[in-house]
Amino acid sequence: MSDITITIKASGDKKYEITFDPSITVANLKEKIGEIADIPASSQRLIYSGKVLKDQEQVSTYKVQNGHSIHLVKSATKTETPAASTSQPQQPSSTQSVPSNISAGQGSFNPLADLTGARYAGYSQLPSASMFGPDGGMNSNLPDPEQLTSMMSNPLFQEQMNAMLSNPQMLDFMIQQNPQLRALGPQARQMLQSPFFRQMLTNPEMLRSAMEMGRQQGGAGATPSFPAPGGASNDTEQDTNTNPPPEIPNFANLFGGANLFGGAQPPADNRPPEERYESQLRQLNDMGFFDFDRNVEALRRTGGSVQGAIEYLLNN
Amino acid sequence: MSKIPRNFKLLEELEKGEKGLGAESISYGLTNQDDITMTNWNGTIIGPPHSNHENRIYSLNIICDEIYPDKPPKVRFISKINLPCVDNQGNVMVEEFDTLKNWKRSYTMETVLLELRKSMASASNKKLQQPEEGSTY
Repeated sequence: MSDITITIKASGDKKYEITFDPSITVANLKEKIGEIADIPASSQRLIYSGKVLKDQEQVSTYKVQNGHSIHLVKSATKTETPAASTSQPQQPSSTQSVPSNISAGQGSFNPLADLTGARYAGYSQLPSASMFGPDGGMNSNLPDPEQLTSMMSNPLFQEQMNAMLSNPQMLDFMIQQNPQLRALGPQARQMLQSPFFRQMLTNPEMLRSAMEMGRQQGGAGATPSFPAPGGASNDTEQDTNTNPPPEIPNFANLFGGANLFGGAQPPADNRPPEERYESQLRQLNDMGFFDFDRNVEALRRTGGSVQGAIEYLLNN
Repeated sequence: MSKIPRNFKLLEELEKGEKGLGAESISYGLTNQDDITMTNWNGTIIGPPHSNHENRIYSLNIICDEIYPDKPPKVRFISKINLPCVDNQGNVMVEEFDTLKNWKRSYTMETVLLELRKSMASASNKKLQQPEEGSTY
């Protein structure tokens, strides 16, 4: 039988072209795919036209034709974070057709990957480039207390926080990232999931005092330990609102490790665009993009990235 | 506006399904490719991540009879699933599933499969205890 060329579509928008003789069995095809796709044949599952292909059958029995596509799904492996399929919204608001996470399928869990998702396009409050140092890192670990407070009172942020804390994977990641938490073991998890902790994170006043406390104790660098979940939090639960107890730690460290504060939800920036994007606008002007409104729009969409803005301007 | 006739619409869906032009998380195609009436279809839904359906593949049977797409197709799960809109024979109940209940002519099998997947991923359903993987009705 003559060879056919088909497209193998894997998760995360990966595609592989593969040419083969359709009289081979599905198992053979999987081996071929294994050579190019870095997924062992044993954990591949192939789907064509709504049918799961069975290893012992010949590919030709499924009447796969030249130019058609076969879906490749990695099956569950117990040992590592499964790189499941694609594009499923964890937030009900994102629509089905827009992949919420373009790097889904990378194998390892990356909480920041979400940020590259298309649903963030057009967010007007993406961090401006000025928040980042020349090397792309943040200038400081955390925004100043004013910024933080306004960020915390942002309902969007609170929603995000809650979503984050109810996502077990996220919690694991946070715990892994932070040696102090790791040392606490399973307790850390309990603590992060406790309503008390959540309340603490969603109460701007409380956070502010906690931060100030941390500062007085020697700034963000010093590491006062996190309260042990058992005793401390029980004692403090009653008076959280009025009188933040001194054990409230430099919780920011928790997030500093994962760089979530800077990354996950940027503070609302209320400066006018000409100020906020001053340097980027100048660069764009130098390059011959003179339309102020469009430049601002482009920068907004790309979160202040000049490169991205140029691409946007050229494509629209 | 003129209505797209049944066969044109189904041919379009067939091509989309075979070439994999649609969403990656689902797949569909004719059960028997010689079926010129294009009535019986297979569908698969790849279980949404962060739910009990993660890494599972659900097979479905879709019947697009003569009145499709004026009326919704009949959709039945072959793989066992625990979902409020699915009865104990695997049939997706029209009254319980909004996409079928409020069917629009512009909907496709892809719409149905994606909406089912969305329902599987919804907050109220994603933690439902699921039957053993691979079991069928």
